[in-house]
Amino acid sequence: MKAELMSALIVDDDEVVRKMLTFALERVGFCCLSSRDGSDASATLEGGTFDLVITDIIMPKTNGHVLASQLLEGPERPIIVVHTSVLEPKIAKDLTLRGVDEIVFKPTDYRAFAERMKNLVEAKRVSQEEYSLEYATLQIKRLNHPDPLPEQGQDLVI
Amino acid sequence: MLSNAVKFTDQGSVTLEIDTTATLEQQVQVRIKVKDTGIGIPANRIQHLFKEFSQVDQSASRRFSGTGLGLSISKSIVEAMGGAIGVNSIEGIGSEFWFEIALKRSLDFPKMAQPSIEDTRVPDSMERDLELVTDDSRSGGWPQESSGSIQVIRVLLAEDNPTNQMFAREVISRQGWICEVVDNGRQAVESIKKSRFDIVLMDCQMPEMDGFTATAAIRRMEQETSVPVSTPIIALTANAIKGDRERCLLSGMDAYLPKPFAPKSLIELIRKLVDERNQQAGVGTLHTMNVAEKFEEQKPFDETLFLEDRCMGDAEFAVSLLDSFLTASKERVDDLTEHVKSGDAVSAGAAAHSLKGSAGIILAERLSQLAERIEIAGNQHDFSTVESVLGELVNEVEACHCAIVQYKQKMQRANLEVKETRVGERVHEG
Repeated sequence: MKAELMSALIVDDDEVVRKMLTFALERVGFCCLSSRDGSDASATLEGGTFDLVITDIIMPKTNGHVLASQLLEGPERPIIVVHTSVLEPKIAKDLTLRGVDEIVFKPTDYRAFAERMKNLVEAKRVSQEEYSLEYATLQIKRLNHPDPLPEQGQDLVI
Repeated sequence: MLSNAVKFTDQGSVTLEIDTTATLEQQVQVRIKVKDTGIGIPANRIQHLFKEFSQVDQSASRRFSGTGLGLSISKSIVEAMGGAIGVNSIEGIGSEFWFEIALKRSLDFPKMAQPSIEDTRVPDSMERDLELVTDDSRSGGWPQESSGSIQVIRVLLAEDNPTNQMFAREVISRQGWICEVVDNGRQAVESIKKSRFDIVLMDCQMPEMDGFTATAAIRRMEQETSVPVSTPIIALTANAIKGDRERCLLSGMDAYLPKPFAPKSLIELIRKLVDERNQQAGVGTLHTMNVAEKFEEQKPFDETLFLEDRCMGDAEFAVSLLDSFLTASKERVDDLTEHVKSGDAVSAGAAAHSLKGSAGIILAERLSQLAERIEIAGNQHDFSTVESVLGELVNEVEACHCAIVQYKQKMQRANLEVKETRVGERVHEG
């Protein structure tokens, strides 16, 4: 079974960018939430898990560098993509070393970007056997409907 | 009102009366009456008449199509102008619709456009680019060019949708130009054979013969008869998809105007192409320049690319994104102005950086560049450049806002037009 629903959290202080990313990602099958800064995003992340987090760097309150670093340290982290227009080489290198999956510079070709994000999520799902596709669906279902987990081998009825 | 009267009158007459009911120093009360000898309105329907979606015959098999929106819109317009609207009618005898509004008196005598020659086919022998010389001292108050002469342009409109026909004809006639309307490409080719036109407006999708085929036929004809300068053809098309424009240009059209278009865009494009054609008349070269593209480059944002590329053709999203841009850009400009006032070049640069991003998304190229100039200057603590570019940027933001508001109105009109067409189709099917 292929899990169709992919989840993304978009973090950017510019509403126009948030809308544009949400629109482009939804067209390729993502379900999106968005936050206007790093602190807002952290609060949202406490409430659920995401396949993908896309963050700008320069934002009020907690900036994207801090947010990305925190996420990278956590277990079962989402795919983390930095979406920014300026980035000092030092910070870019630091982020890459810490394990950020991708750095994309604005201005962005949103159609291509969304496709790329979809591929990233799909590739990760395929590569992680224990984190099977079924389980990803199950987890999303549990967030919305906190029913007890079904026994192993039991079919999931959606 | 006039078209209603004609629509509902099979026999007899339709009369238009204009009268003044009161004349003051500054303004005059004008009463406009449309009398007809048509089917009339039953007494019990009269009170519902100005409501939305009202038609006398509501049954599915009714004779008369239409949305039932016309009178309700008329009422809104008249009331917005501070006037009143009403009707007297006897079923089977006729109706008399009237409205009364106060208009400002003008002391100047308006310069007149070429009077009532709409739809008159001009014989080939008539001088081209007929000029009407008017007395400049009397001109004023009339929104026409102040050159003292009016060039009468003969337009052939090939379009099958009656609403679009009406709209384009109205826009063209208001310029005092002549507009001949045909319903399909085949008729357009026939008309070109018989008469000379200064320009052709060609819908792409039409029954019998589409715009592409018709254009190719006209171009072939021109080559065979070795005309010195070809007649400019503007493609009008509702599906402004990529590749469509190329197809138009390939088939021999000169420019491309996506529907819905603003009257101003159409008029300017016609003027431009006709002027170019006239300039070339002595030279005899064919022109293939895409004026629509050049025209669009001057706009604050690239509407076509924005809708088709950025928003992937999703008009609803386009409007929503533009709304966000209106709010966001206003906030950024306020921030920016505030930082400039307090002499903080770096913060001004940061605000400009953000504005550059949003502007880039809606494809507002000039604004994006101006914002970038401020951003760079701000980062370099170059306060004088920040300050000097700010005025230009504020103007550009205003231009963007105007363009966006107009674009949204255009989209709403297009939406309404689609709905009207759909309602009309349902009536015919019923």
